[in-house]
Amino acid sequence: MSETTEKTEKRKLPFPTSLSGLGLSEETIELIYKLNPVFAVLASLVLGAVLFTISGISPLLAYRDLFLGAFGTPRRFSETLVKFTPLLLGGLGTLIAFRTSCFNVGGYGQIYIGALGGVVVAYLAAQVIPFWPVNILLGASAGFIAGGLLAFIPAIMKTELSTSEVVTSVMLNYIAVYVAWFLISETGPFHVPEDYLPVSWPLPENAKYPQFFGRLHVGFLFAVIAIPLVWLLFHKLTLGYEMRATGLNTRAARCSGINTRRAIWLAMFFAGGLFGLAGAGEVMAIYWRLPPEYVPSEGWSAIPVAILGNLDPIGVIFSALFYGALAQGGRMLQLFYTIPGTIVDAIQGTMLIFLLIGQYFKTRREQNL
Amino acid sequence: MMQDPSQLLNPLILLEIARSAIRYSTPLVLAGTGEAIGRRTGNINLGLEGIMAIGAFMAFWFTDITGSLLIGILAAVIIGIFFSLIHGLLSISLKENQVVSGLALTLVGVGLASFLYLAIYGVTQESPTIDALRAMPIPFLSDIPVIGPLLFNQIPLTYIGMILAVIASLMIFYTHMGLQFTACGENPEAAETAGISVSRLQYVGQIITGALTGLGGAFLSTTLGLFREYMVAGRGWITIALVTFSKSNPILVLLVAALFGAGEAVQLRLQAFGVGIPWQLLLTIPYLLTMFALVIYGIRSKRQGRD
Repeated sequence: MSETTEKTEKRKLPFPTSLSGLGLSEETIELIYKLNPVFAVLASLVLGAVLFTISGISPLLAYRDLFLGAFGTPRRFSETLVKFTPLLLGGLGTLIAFRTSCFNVGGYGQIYIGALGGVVVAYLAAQVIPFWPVNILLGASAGFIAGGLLAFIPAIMKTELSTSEVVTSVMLNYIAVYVAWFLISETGPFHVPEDYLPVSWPLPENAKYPQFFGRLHVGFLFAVIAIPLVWLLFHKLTLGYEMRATGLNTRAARCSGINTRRAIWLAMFFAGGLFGLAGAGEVMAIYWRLPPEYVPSEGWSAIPVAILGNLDPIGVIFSALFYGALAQGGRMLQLFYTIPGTIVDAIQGTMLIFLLIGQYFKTRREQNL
Repeated sequence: MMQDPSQLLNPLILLEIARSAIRYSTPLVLAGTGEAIGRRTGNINLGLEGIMAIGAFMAFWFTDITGSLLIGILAAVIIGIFFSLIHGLLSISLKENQVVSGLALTLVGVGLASFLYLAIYGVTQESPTIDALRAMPIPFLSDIPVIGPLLFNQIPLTYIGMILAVIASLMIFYTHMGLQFTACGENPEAAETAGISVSRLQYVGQIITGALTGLGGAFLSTTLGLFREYMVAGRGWITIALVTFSKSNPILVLLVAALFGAGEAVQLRLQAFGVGIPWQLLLTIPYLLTMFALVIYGIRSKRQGRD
């Protein structure tokens, strides 16, 4: 964009685009821009307050109960952490992909296939191996690989055929879920004949993730271990550097000798893998089988989690905790007030919009400096 | 009740399948025509799924309140425009990433539609219903054999979709404004130099996209007479793929959408006939079809690029 159009753009916007002229010190202004995610969260909470008011509930009471629903008792806090686990894994996966400019929107299907892979392999392993640590590790790895392979399809189509990974990964969501439904149905191979309902094989005791704090399970530890690994990937490893370069400018990266194809393939594989690991954890720790009514909404909310966390592993910890608390609090709210818990989805989505608006002012300032 | 599979080749049933194919293609045609125009201006709106969801809900809700399908459908169009203006603000004025902005719309649209539905109607034994939009046979024309029932005995939104796709194609290729749209997308700097306000035309493109996508959403709830949380079922995303391999040409969108409609119609028929393929796998047909078409399109454009 030429400089003249930049100037006309600036004039055209019907609102002030910088904080200068308000008589604030440079440091204060800097801090305000840094706190962009906080403002986005606050703005969306205000919008949520409007939704609560429309539903006839005092927003202050609703938010108090939302908070208590998430952190009020040890039991509720453990449930918040249970929801935090797949959000963190999904958020980390999404940040790897997005940093590489791969817009993986296939988390939903990747979780589903990961869950199926985890259940099937853990069940089979438990038939021959009596030790649970081996079985759950096999199940978790199967989930990781299954999710990763599903994400690999859009990656290959992106690098070889220049197909938009957004559309292909969404299509695979539907395909994966329906195929999984078939595989666990009465006519499918992963179904016990005695079961009247379409569910997968039930996991025996030695194939379940152990729970240690309420329903909080070993998957939480996997998620926590993943944080430093993703951090190392982007801060210490060549591969992470190559991924970032590919994400910033694929052509320039290719010209400077980076194997952008490999970077994209691996980024998508890791992203799908982390989603798959999340799915495997959910079914092996909470459900102990794959029921067809399993709705892994984390497949979608991992995207705002990653963006709210500034596509940074440390930031994602906070945003995943926040989203987990919203999800758990929203569920409690549903019980307290008989309002739909999906109000939380609407709040989460608007947060992304406010975040983008805030980011604009931030980049604008960085350009001016 | 299972029917005899050989009945599938009965000419009357084939005609009925073709008729449903055109009917099912309507939301794709409507949204696809809008998206094609929007994409010509150089702005891809990935929020179609969300706009369709909220459009479907608004059409249902307003029809239920006012008793008028027309007002319901109008409400869907207005909410569609509102949503696409948010996308416009983010991606055109604030120059944010189009992909992320579209994803945000999808999340908000789907979430808000499901929240509002549950908040207003609650969880009930029987879903609340409205009077569904009925087929409106066009006098004389609908009496023509084969073509009559196929093209002229459909619901009004189907006619509107077909007419709009044709008008949009004529507009894009034969009018000054249409050429300006394409110029914006293909070379924004040159267009700007030639005195075209790129951002204004992009906003116009987004308004059209939003209005038509809202209309496509309205089709879903008004033809069934009810609203379901997940009734859009990826149609927004399929539309985006469809516009890609139609090269943003609404006439081609119309034809390719009919193919997708056929996929859905055949799938539903096969379920009713019980041909031995599990229903879960039949449900994957529209999505597999999309993947397959994307692969073919990708291979073809790669070949062309090499020549």
